[in-house]
Amino acid sequence: MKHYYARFEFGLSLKDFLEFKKSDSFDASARLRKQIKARDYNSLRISKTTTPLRFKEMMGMEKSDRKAMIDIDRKVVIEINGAWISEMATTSNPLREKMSLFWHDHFACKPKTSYMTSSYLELLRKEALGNFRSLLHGVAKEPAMLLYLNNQQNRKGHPNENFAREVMELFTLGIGNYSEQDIKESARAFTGWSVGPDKHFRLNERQHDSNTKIFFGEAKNWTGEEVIDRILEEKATAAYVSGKMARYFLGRPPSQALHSNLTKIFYESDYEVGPVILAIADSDEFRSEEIIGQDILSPVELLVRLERDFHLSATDNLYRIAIQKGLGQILFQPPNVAGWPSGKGWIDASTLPIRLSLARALLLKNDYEVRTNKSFAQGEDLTENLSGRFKKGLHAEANILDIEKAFGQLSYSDKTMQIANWLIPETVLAENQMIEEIKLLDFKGTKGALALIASLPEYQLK
Amino acid sequence: MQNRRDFLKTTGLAGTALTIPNLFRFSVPSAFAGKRLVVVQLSGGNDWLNTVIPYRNDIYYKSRPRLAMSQTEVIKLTDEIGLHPSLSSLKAVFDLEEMAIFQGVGYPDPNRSHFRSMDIWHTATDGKSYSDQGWLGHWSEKCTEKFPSLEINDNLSLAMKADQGKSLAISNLNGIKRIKDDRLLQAIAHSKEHDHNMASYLYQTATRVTEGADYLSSLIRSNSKGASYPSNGFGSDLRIVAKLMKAEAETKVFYTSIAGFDTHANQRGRHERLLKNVDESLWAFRNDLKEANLWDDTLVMVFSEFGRRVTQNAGGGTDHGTAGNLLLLSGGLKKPGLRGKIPSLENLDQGDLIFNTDFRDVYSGILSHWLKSPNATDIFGANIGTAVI
Repeated sequence: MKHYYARFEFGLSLKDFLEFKKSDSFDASARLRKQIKARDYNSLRISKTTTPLRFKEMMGMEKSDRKAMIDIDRKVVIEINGAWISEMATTSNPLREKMSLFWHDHFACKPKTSYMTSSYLELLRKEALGNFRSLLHGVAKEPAMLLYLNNQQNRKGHPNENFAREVMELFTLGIGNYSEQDIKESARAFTGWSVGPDKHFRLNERQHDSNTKIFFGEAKNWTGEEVIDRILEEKATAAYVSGKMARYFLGRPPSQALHSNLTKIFYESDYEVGPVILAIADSDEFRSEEIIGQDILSPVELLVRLERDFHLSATDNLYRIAIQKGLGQILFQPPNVAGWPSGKGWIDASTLPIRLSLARALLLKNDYEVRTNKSFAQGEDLTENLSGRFKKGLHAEANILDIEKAFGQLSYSDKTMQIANWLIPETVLAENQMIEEIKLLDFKGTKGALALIASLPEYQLK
Repeated sequence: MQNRRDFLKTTGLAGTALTIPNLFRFSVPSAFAGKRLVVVQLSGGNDWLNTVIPYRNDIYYKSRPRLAMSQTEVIKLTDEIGLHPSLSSLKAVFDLEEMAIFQGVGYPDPNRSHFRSMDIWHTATDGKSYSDQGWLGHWSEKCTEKFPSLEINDNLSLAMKADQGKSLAISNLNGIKRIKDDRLLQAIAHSKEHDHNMASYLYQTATRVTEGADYLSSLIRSNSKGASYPSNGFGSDLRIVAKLMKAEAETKVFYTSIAGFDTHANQRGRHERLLKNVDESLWAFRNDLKEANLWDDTLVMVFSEFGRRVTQNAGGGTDHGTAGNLLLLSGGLKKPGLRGKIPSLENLDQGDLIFNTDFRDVYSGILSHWLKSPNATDIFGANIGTAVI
């Protein structure tokens, strides 16, 4: 059960943990089905309205006005970032947000403005548990993606192949399942796909190449939409995307048998996402010892856990950005179109000590240092102005009344064991000697016990 | 009783790839022992055309009426090429035959995004594929030293990363102190070995970090006050590097960076200050190491993710470009001076210079000639040459 919550949601809440002790039956499949079926979901709580701002339009402005507008826009991006994190931590449908996060990594994109950020994210959230075909068609026409992959420069007679290449290499077929010729020809089909003055997708007929193209061996006047549908006819697309979904939930590649089963399910359902998720959760592999507790929380997952476990509240989102920055994953700023690392790739000599310091910076107000003067491009880094802001702990207040209530009466030793039981994967806990050793340190009371457990490397596992 | 970590230590497996078959490991011969590499990253895209200047070229002056350095300002190296007036110390280094200036350095199908282009330089890929392994991280995996590579920065750059990489990152001396003073982290690092796979990986990493901090701080403490450096971020980073070298650190690769080169507007004054900082800091570093008899075995590589557009923009700055220069500094260079060809200012690709030297030729030269890693060049594939260093 803990394993299910760790992988398909953002961890087990204290409430669910306490309730589960009373009754032993847990039906993961039913819980997933319910979430897949649910149509409604919360819109993100953003106080400022996002403006359909594009930097090009600001060129005529006074320099100071322009800077002020960019600053406002960046604040809105930070707000969207924080609102999404908050939604992940509080939603009653975590599966939708978990899959949206997957799609954000799969369709990795760095939107240029708050308006594009919001439009892109809302599409991912809307289609997260729906159909991959609609999602793909939608993403391909998102202003954020068209600009990110330079399709504005993809014009009749002067094709820019970046968009066509990444669609096939990273979003659908995977390397080796298409030819360079297919890229060249399909790039022509995407010519004129651009962002119009109303900030929405627009087919610029004048830039569109409507001559014959030979794609996957067939000569005709291919449109962009037809290219996408043709790509989806290839079973390789179902294999590539379902394999990636399996890796996301399992933390490692699926066995060949499971992978071909998932491919079949995905292909035959015409790319419904739900059945693939259910099949992964139902597989024996998912429940095997080699999987449970053998993956590392992504920075965003870790942040969401901290929010949830400590009930954080704050006047602004900067602490959230500071944590994402320190751990190497800032939402809407993937390193490149291939997305973020995973598993061990998150851990290095600088990120591990930061991970282990977070619980103390939040609960015990220990210093948290984030220096950001080494970022490269001015105006492209949300964390530019954060330097030195977190001298006395991260600026967020924890509220652990529920934990006090549940474990406050217990002896310190029992308290730590109970909290560990709640927060650490079973397979890891079984072998743990660390908790005994570390009790010697000076972490007092329920808050101390919580800070201790959440500072252990084991808390980083899922 | 021997626990797993002791077992790993005595069998020499600690910290190395248990999962990587031995045939992929190459040994590093002892000839390499003394050589060190210091990378200096100019973040943001340095305007190389105003750094290493073709001061006789009319197109240069026509393209940059507000930014071009006049013939009298330029510090002349040859009849054609001169340095930015801020670089008087580098001129001295050049005259001492301790600097190689590679010209027209880049890669095919250049990308003008900071992030993507920096990725390409960090991973040494061809620009069409993606990797989360850096060229120096990859190298560090194969070293026998425990702490082969160190970055002076908050985060480890992609260049220094690898699955089984051994690179450390420290922000400054306080960073080391913070790790040493973190009692919980120390307790974690010194705890009994964990049998759970992934947990054990985290514990081992914690151990490596604290051992690294202990090791570095022992070296720095045992060393007296160093030479004087410009008192700014980059200068003090180089001072830390020199201190560690003088204390005979086993670390072979150091990574430093200086930011602010994205000069889209009001470039003149900003670029001048940045280059002055680079010039003075490198000069202090060179002299410090020269005096300690280490300069001949130290190679400094200065690079940026791209150069800038030939034509100035409307804001008194320059926009993202493509090819640029790469500098190597050392007392032990086999081939100092100007290397490669000056790229044409006439024949451009969308307003940008066309490269003639692939940066990976230089990497390959550094790995095989300087760091003496025999099959290191395998990473780059057959099309990549090997520059003499």
